[in-house]
Amino acid sequence: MTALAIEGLGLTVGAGAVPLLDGVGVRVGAGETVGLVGESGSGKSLTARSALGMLPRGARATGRVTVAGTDVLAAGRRELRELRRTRVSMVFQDPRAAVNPVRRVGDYLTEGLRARGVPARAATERALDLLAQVGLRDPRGALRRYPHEFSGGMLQRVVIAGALATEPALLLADEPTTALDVTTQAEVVGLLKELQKAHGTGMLFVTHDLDLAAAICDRVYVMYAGRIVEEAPGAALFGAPAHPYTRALLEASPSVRGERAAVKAVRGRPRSLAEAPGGCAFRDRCPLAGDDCARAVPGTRRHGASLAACLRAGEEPR
Amino acid sequence: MTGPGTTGPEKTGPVLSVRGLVKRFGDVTAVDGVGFDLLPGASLGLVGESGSGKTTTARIVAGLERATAGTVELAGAPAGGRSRRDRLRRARHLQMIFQDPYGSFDPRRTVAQSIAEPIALHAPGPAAARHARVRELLDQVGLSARAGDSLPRDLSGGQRQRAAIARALGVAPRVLILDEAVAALDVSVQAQILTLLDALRRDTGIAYLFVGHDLAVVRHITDEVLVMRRGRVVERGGTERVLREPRHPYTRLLLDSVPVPGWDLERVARDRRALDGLPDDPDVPDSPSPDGDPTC
Ligand SMILES: Nc1ncnc2c1ncn2[C@@H]1O[C@H](COP(=O)(O)OP(=O)(O)O)[C@@H](O)[C@H]1O
Ligand SMILES: Nc1ncnc2c1ncn2[C@@H]1O[C@H](COP(=O)(O)OP(=O)(O)O)[C@@H](O)[C@H]1O
Ligand SMILES: [Mg+2]
Ligand SMILES: [Mg+2]
Repeated sequence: MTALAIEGLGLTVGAGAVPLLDGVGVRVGAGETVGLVGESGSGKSLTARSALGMLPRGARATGRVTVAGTDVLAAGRRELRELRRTRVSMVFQDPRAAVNPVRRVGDYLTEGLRARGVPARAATERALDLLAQVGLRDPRGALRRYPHEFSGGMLQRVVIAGALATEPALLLADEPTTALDVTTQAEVVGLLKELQKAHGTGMLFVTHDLDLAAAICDRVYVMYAGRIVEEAPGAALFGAPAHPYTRALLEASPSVRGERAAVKAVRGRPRSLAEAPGGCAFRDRCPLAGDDCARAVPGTRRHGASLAACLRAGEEPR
Repeated sequence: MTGPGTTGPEKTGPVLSVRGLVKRFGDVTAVDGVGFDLLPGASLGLVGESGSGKTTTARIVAGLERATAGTVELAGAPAGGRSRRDRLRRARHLQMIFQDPYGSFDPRRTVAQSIAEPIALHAPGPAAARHARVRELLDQVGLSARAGDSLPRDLSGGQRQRAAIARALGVAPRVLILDEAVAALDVSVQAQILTLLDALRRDTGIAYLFVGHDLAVVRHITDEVLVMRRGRVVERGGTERVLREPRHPYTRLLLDSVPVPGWDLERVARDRRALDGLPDDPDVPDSPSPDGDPTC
């Protein structure tokens, strides 16, 4: 079954209908890890949150969002609450924002289960089991502790334990390791992958880090200015980027391995959809852009292992 | 490497010399015996995870924090003094840039006014000359005159970091300390700032102490690197050597933790076990041995 299907999602806000997302399509299969990458303001978080029916205040949505069979944009309040409680979980960048600082970790972990009618004792047993699964050394002690008694990495493990407590069909991970040290990131990513595999959970992994996405994702979507500009298998994205933006990102990133290559700066700065030029939003920063790029938003075409929204996908700069 | 700003008697030796730095906050030892030399025009990296003592080291060197023990010499003279004269001398030779430059700008003044301020302090002269110098600095870091007339909050993160660099360069310092200075920037903008820093070092012979947790960025911008863990230097050497053949298990763990296609997470776990089995962190001598590459 498909864990998440976002089709032609468009979002605007306010009386002026300021555009935020346009024609976004994202699919996550059961047990699949799918990356959503792009620079700040490209619309990654808006896209991920749409899967929970969390839209900005005053936003109008077009298109379709389906999670484990539920039509999210058409769903009522109760249905959405039920969906969030049982089918979809989310892990954010800052674990401290996700947990109530004055409640014990045990309460945090058992409340979702209790709400589903699991008896207190069984919920506690389940919480202990989850804490052990995410690698806490003293699960019983952890239940009685408060969030501030944990380091960021340990607390993120607690949040992941909570997110997986209900065995959701879909896990939305929005920059879940961005605030962590690299070694802790590696551990948390290893944990997410392991648990996801064990439970067959589909994961949408949102990150600004292209290397990270390419390293752990089956497929990756690249976003720029509120649109998907490329979709490719993780490995292919790295080896043979099709969209000039993806290529620019790779060439701008220094690397620790291989030959030491010059970084290539991209002119300008990332833009939101509202600020972007008409036609291809990347054209004012693109080394390949021509007059034709201004005419319309480029449709998606296949190039190698990628789908890219570019008239010149795969071409070399002159 | 030498450049225009590097002539004079003491200029052949290190521009910055740090020995036996210790810093305690209560019973936390944040920095525990750190030492290094920075040659004119060189670029030295300070890497390690959060809490390893990088920022504390940098702040002591910049005179923003007092060391519990140890010495800092800047351009051939002790740099620990607290008098106004000492502070001015330090600021003339050494400037520091932070991850978020917002705090170092007065929110009510234009960026150009903020850039002019240290110049007025260190090289008083006619206002016209100062304005010309500010224009030159803006140009050098790739900011328009219009950006110069803006308030800090109206600039993007990348533009603000350019402005911070322009401000630091105004007094023609010989050392620039960059503490996670590109960490908050989007990668396409980060590449612009890295390119700018490359060009500045090439053109002016300024030296960098580059504090960062991103090994790829540190590899790009530095020639030598110190790896810090729990306040101590656990490995030091040429950046390429350290990244290609790490000798300390902690350096190996840091490296293997960097995501790559075919990332081996099992190996990261093994590195961590190897490190946990280690009795204590070995000490590394203060200054590099003649080949600049001592083992640990
Ligand atoms: N509630 C909102 N109201 C108006 N604009 C918003 C809102 N949330 C996000 N945006 C805008 O939408 C764009 C995309 O935001 P976001 O999805 O958070 O980007 P990302 O996660 O890729 O950094 C940004 O320009 C942001 O300012
Ligand atoms: N002003 C301070 N008061 C108390 N402890 C501090 C202070 N500044 C830093 N520390 C502690 O010193 C250690 C090193 O911190 P820091 O130098 O900021 O590390 P890094 O920059 O490598 O992340 C940490 O344990 C930190 O909590
Ligand atoms: Mg986001
Ligand atoms: Mg720091």
